[in-house]
Amino acid sequence: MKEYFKQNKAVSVLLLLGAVLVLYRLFWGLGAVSALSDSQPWGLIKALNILSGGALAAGSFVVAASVHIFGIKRLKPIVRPALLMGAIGHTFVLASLLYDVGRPILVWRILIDPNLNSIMLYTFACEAIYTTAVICEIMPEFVKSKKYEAIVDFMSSIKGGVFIVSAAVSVVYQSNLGALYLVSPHRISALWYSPWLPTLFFFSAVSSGLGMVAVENGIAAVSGSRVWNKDAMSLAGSIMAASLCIFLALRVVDLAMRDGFQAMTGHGFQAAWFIAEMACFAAALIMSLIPAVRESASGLLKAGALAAAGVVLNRLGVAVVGWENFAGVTYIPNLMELYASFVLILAPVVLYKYFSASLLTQGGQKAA
Amino acid sequence: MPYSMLIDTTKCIGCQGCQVACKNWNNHSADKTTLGPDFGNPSRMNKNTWTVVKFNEESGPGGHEWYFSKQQCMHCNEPACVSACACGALKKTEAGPVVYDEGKCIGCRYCMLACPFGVPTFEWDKALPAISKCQLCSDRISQGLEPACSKTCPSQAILFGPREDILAIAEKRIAAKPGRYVNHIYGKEEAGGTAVMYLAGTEFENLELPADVDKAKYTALTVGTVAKTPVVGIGAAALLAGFFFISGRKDKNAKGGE
Repeated sequence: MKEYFKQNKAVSVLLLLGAVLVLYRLFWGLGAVSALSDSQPWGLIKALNILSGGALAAGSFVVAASVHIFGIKRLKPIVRPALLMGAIGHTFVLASLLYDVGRPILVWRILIDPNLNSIMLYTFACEAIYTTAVICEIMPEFVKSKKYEAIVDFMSSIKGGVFIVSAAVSVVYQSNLGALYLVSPHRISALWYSPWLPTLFFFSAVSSGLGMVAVENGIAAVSGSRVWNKDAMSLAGSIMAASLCIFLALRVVDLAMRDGFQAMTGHGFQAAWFIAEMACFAAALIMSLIPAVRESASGLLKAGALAAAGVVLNRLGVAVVGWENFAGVTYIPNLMELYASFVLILAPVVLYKYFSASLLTQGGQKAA
Repeated sequence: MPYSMLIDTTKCIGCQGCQVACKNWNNHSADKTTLGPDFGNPSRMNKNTWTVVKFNEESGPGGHEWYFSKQQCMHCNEPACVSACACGALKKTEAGPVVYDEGKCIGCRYCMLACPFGVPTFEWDKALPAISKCQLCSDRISQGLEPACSKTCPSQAILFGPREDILAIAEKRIAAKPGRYVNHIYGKEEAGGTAVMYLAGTEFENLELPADVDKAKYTALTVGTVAKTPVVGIGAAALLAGFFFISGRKDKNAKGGE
């Protein structure tokens, strides 16, 4: 690790500044480091790092469930990078949650008198359980040293149970991220609020999760560090196309049923954002339906990136852009907030590059 | 037996004595006066100000009207904030107030999202911030006193008492002077009924009371999902376990066949 930081001084400085910002936030409060206010209690970090992050890291549960539960052996070669991405991604969703929550050092207080009627409780619990589970899942794959043999053997023996639990918990978790917003119909534009939010969030998470798997494998293939596994990735692309299809169909039907399209009139910015979101999803769907695109690294990479972009726009729409503020205050994240969000994305990317360089090429991933 | 508060905005003279009394009782500091588009000071509730008087102007064929109304927590009968709070920090008491226990709060601010009236405020400048909102003087009520604001109000625009009595008084007032009041008790059914109710001589939107608040309880929006969560989770787990064993047997048979 030290070597990595010595060789990448710029990144190290950025991360160090991020650490300083975290300390500043811990001692001076959220108001000092963000543009959040009583009119906009949840903002960029929630929408981008937590909601979008949770959706983009969803590839791990989709791929793991496909291989280990549904027995789709064709996807086995891409399980390891997907699990690694999921483990690191979800760890940083948790880190972002702790950054954004008011009293991170007192977060254990949720256990004093938990409210079983609260969707927030289930979301938090499922997030914690899933992150733990995915870290358990990667341990047999990546931890080879003799020191931890006993733990790794235990993890391997309960592997089946862990995969079942993590897949079931993921279904609840991804849906509940959407269900969190069910309680605010009065605040969210009809373009994004829907009684079907849980289902919409789930299918878009499956799409963007597979999209990020495609992006990661695509970048690795294009840069030459791993061979592009056409067999596995084209199937992943097909599954992504299917879930995009379901998601888009549900979204359009839902909007039509609720007469949501009329919310575009008089709200130019929201309308433009919505159109951009739909364009990304439509483009991703069309591209991933073409076999030639699915089978090529650069093609599926672009389709996956579009699916991921669409989900990011969607989550920002639900949480930030779609909000009509009580006090008529427009929320624009300030510099420190943008930087915190940036660092909470940079850190997992750095960690991923570091671990994948040492771990993913060792396991014979270089061969097809 | 639940208590209620009636705010008859036609009797409000905009003196803001309720704001002062509330700060007095709860030991809140003053806010620095800022000039804004209206007479309100401050313009909205914040961590130090649990109630504000709103000054709204309307120009119409009848002339120019200036409306005063008091804004604070509505103490809903089925509070969205209570159902939202994962930590159980917000609770609806039998006496009526929705009270907040800082000792259980983690500062996630989900209650701020859930509230259809935008009531809970947050201590943005603290390292260990808490939520801050009107407690309907639950500490005074438990000693048989009325809230500070209703005690102070010089024009007796704020009444406090058992819910049935308050509703009866409100209905009597509307019946006795139909020209003075809009024929609606705001809060009788809004959001499933609230402990704090309003009478007005104008549309309630002119007093910044949201018109699009459903008659249904806000908790009804989420209770379906919450009930489904364990079912979905356990159902998914069972289904997935089924697939796991099927594909496991397929593997074993394949291996056995080799």
